[in-house]
Amino acid sequence: METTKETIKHVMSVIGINGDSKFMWDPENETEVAAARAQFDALKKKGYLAYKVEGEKGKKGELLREFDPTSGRIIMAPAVAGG
Amino acid sequence: MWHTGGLIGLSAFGGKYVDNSTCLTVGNIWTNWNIGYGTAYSKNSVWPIWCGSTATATTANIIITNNVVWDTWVTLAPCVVTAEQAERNRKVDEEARKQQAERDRLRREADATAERLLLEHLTPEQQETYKQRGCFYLKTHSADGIEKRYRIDRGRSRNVRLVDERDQVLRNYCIHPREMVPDADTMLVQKLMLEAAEPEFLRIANAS
Repeated sequence: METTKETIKHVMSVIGINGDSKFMWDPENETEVAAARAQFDALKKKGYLAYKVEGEKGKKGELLREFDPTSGRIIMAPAVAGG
Repeated sequence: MWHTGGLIGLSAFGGKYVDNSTCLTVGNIWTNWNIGYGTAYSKNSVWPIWCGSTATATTANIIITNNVVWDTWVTLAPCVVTAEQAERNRKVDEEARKQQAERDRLRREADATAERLLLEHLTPEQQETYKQRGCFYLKTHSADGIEKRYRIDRGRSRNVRLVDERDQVLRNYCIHPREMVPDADTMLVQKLMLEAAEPEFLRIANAS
């Protein structure tokens, strides 16, 4: 979570070829939550896996099936393949 | 492989090449030249002589001297470039260099961004191992209570290893994002998946 102008921003990091891009929302702001949810759903349709990663550094992530606006940090990982 | 100088006595008729004794289709002319059939003119000697010998070869009744034929094929006529063409070539080269430099810059930035993200999601111990050795370890616990130890090495493919407590590799796994993301992002994806969805990881990964 990042604090900006006294509001708590939750962050979704989307991994891509240029590193990750960040998408933020304020869980109290319905418009931002709706935009974040739309982004989440669009990526899930593309095969991304979503992980909720909170708490102490390095703590194991949790697989997210649906968007949870209360998640402080989400990592969207692109679809994988066996090499 | 056709030379119009007539040195080798071949000519084309309706999609087929004909030497003095045999009608050869396009597909087998190379084979005929390079495999000896015991014919009178030793086809298999022609190519080596063209390419490196100072001797002469005879195919049918045509004499090939040294490697003249090959040289003729590969030597370009003197290239005359006008000042205008030279300037255009210089601009094309310069643009290509700029584009390559930009791609390199973006790649370096992406690598740095990915490494920051990876380090943010490693424990202090994992961070230390990663900085020193370019790898880190993690443990998983299956539903039936079995503990496994994995090592994720820097890289994109075949970089996940199941190891024992002495770091002996028991198995290698190859699994990575379909997109060409930076290596550090690949390692983070592998870590997250192993910890949160190990059965899925093992189902998709190629193991060796």
